[in-house]
Amino acid sequence: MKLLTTNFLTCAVKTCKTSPLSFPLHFKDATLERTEIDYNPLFIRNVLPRVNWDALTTTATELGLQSLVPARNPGTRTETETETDIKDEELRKLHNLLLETGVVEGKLVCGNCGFEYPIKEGVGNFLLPAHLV
Amino acid sequence: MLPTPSTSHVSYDRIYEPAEDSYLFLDTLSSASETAWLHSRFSTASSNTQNQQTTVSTTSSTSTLLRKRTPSTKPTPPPLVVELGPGSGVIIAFLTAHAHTIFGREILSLSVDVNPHACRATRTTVETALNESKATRHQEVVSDTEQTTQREHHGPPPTPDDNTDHKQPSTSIYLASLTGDLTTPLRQGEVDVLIFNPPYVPTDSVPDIDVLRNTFPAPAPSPISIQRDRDGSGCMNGSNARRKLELSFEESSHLLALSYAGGVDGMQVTMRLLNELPSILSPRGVAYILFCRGNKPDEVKDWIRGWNNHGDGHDDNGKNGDGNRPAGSGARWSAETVGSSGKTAGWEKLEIVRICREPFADGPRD
Repeated sequence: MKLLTTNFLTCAVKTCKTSPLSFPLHFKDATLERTEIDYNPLFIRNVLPRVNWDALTTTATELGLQSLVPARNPGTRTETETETDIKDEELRKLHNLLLETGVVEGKLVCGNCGFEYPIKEGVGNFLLPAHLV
Repeated sequence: MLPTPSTSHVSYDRIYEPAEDSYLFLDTLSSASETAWLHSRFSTASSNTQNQQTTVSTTSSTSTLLRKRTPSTKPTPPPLVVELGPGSGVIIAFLTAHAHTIFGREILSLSVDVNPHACRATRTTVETALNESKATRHQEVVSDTEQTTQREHHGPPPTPDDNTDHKQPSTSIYLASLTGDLTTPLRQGEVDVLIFNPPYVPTDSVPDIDVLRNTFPAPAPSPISIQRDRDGSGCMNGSNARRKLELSFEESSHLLALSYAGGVDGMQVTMRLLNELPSILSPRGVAYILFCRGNKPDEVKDWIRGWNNHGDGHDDNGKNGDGNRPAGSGARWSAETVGSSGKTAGWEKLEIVRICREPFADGPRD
């Protein structure tokens, strides 16, 4: 499960969906893997506008990877800045973090209800026990 | 013709084997008309001008869409393509590996399946297809470079746009296989393309997924029965699965039943998903859902066209909603059949319906 996946995930419990605490889900006991992916600066640059930066910062910090996240989303520059202002070094770090870093084992925990979704062999299990459905 | 992803590693005793319905998705989504539509819908903004000149011959709705879009230099993000219930993974692998041809750009993709075996199989299918696509592409680039070295030296620099250079290595990303119930793990408003080949065969009931919530192996309830095609519903997709029901043990029977048993009218699972569509799709989002004749797709399409686009959802009058839309909202829901098969046999008439908001339409056109 690539790290960018967490940008699109939330708690499966219906009543948690409206709570800001249900996003992002928080990693616990995570085992990371690195998979080499062809670096495409245009692609990663286009991905950035849809990344929730606060959530990414939280997630990266929890995994000890905060050094890969710039303070500000390079994909949302103001109009006075040109595209060349996006530093290649920043893009490479984000490529590394979002697309090459994956979680193979561990848990994703909801900050609202505390439910722990297990990740095994890189597959997150979001099926809820019957009493939570 | 685009190559079909290999699924030779998949165990069909617990995962739905690609069949006519799966291939209908591949044919429909790679058809000239559908790729043209997807290219327009998900074009990077910087290629708008070019598209305006080249899409004159496409449908009127496409032209309207492009004319009304405000020109912008900001590129649009790559679409997030999600398949629910991918089974072997043949469809999402096809879409991810051939994203350049189908969407005109690279994509992000992921899948959600209740069957954990299917989750792992899908990941392998997608990764294999991506690697093969990369190898093919590499060969093309090598031979192309040898033949056109001179042109490259004098040609213009590459356009800063991820959809123009079809010779660059494919960098579409398969994010994850998730085990889950339909869209429940996903944040609202993020899905740009949703693919669903649902359990559509009319059956007495939908199998319980509770058994999957616990760790496998676990006792499975008795296999549900499949109605024969007495009512001419044309939904006997069960022929394939039925054979396996007789040959397999309970767990795989249960898993396979989950892949095709659709309950009343074969619509119980599809209806749950349709009710989530307005909240799960992004504003530019589109869903492709397969129906068989017994699902009464014409009624379903009429019902969808009656949804308004007000906040979190649609009118809840059930089928044949009255189509009331809030004043001032230009957006409406569109539901069109864009692919079909088995028209003559009466055995299994399948169709794929494309469902999306048409935010650029001129208003009601009933």
